[in-house]
Amino acid sequence: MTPVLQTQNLHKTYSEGPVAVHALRNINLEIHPGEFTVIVGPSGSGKTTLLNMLGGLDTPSTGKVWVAGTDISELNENQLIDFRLHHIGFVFQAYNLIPVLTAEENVSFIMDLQGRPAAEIKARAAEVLAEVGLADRGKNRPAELSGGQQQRVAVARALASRPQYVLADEPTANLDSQTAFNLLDTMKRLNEDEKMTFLFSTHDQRVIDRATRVITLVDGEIASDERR
Amino acid sequence: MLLKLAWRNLWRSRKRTLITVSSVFFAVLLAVMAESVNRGSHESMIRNSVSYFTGYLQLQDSAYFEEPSLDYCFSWNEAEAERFSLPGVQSLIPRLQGFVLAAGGDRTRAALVLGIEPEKEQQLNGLQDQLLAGDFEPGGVVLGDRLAERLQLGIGDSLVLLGQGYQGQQAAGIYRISGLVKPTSPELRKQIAYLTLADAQSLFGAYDMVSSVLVMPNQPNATDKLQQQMSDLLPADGFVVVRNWRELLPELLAAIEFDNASNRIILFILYLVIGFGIFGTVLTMTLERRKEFGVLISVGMRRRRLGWMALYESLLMGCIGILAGMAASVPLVAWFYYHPIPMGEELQAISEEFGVEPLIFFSADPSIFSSQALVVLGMCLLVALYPGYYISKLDVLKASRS
Ligand SMILES: Nc1ncnc2c1ncn2[C@@H]1O[C@H](COP(=O)(O)OP(=O)(O)O)[C@@H](O)[C@H]1O
Repeated sequence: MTPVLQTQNLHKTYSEGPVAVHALRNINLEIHPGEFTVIVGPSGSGKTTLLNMLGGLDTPSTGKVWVAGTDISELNENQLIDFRLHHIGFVFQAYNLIPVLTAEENVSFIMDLQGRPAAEIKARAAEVLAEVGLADRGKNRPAELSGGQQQRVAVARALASRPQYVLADEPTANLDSQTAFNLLDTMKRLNEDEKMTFLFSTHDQRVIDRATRVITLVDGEIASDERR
Repeated sequence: MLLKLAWRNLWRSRKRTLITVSSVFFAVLLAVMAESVNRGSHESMIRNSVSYFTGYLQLQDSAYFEEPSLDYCFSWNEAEAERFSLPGVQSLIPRLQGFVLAAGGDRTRAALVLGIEPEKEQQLNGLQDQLLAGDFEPGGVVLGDRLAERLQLGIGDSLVLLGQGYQGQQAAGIYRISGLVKPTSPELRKQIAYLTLADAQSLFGAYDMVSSVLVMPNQPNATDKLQQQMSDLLPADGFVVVRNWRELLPELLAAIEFDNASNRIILFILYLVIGFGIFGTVLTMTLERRKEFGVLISVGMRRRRLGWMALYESLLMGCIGILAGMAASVPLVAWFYYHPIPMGEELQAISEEFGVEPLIFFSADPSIFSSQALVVLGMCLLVALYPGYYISKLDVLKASRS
């Protein structure tokens, strides 16, 4: 099976401060379709930096990141934005949603930007909203939803356009444990039902328990990579 | 979609947007009214001067403007009048004027004799409505009320006019005072002595001659075209020329321009104030959404599209304010256009002194509205440069994680 995501000798060095910080060293990774991968490691180990590289939000100092056959480390800023729009889904820790749009409109947003036909967008938005269990909250604005519901809308938005994979940066960080549990259940189900590939950074043991693959970073290097 | 987003973003903070919009509203209202009064007063000044003194156009000897002497009058008769009655001409009003001494009893005063055709003047400026008593009639003279007072004469008394006529002739005549007028200009009240055109021509020995022919066009804004058409009728080597009111009233034009300049300064300050108002709102709207912008760019929205959204936001605020301002000011201006405001009594006295009507006029020129709208829109565009710049420089990684 061809990987959806592949890195080759990835390095990231921050040299703004007095001493250069080697945030990532020699990362070689392959992520396959349908994987539910978590990236763990102590604070400062490079999880966020790696996720930024894999999401096309930042460019590596050296090395390559291949997504669906494209080396995204070669793209310029606008090409990167368009690449993210069409190929990568994002779920952030918080404030993912546009407060003035309803849940349904938030879910449609990416597809709108992609310029898909309105009828297709409507149908798909309704479908994923139902999949995350919010079929009846489509007309609500984020402020009218709980934190967990908001994160589910964010997950629905991230995968509505069927990206190559969804990157989630500590998506449960701001949720209480029951809510986090439900969100994880939902994502796991989507992982299975929609064959969606998920990639998390997290400290959360509950997330780790559900993963099919755990990559541990220490000091910017892969210390272990176990599949289960 | 961008427009929808922009529209909804505006109403995130209803109060803030309403305050901004209403500041635009009041500024537009104020600016339109101020400009309307400004132009209205100018239009009325022009209307006054043009109908009493100069006409929109005037036929005169080329030397007359520099030296308004009887020696520079020219022939005018039925045939000439026929020739210049172009389709755009409403009326042609011939006048012959000269300075004389007016003597009655033991008093003598300088007077301006104006030979006129009363019915035509009536059409032009309602001269007959200014009569306090009596009427214009052949062999009679109609005096300005103050002049009559100074001469201590009244209707029925005799008046001797003495002076120099055409080409140095002796001009002398005795006339019965047949009426008294009260022109709006205080100067005229002290100086004017109206004769019929024929009487003035024989007084000055300038038979069939006039000093000027005032031209009233059907449409004042077609004046320049008419001027051209009339010049084409005049022989190139002749002495008679067509002048327009701008050439004839340079002081008035200068006064109007000065007035416009000071008005523009006031408007500029007004706009500066609301410009900063809009800017303040746009600034807070931008800064408080740093994180949101970061997320939007992260998930795949190009900076340019975000910039458009911010532009729409400021334009929308401007447009709502402008439209509301227009909606309020159009009927107001229309009302005052047809119902000028009477000045208070003190001002009335002053305005009489200066020979203008004691009314505050409003102009309903459509360009007043469009120019205000353009200025406000331009300002909104200018203000929108800031969020555009902010978005283009935004550090996405920092913003979306802050
Ligand atoms: N913009 C930056 N400039 C300089 N150093 C950075 C920057 N971002 C991250 N780092 C450094 O890179 C290392 C990895 O950080 P990060 O990826 O945030 O780790 P984690 O997400 O695992 O906590 C840390 O030592 C951090 O201080």
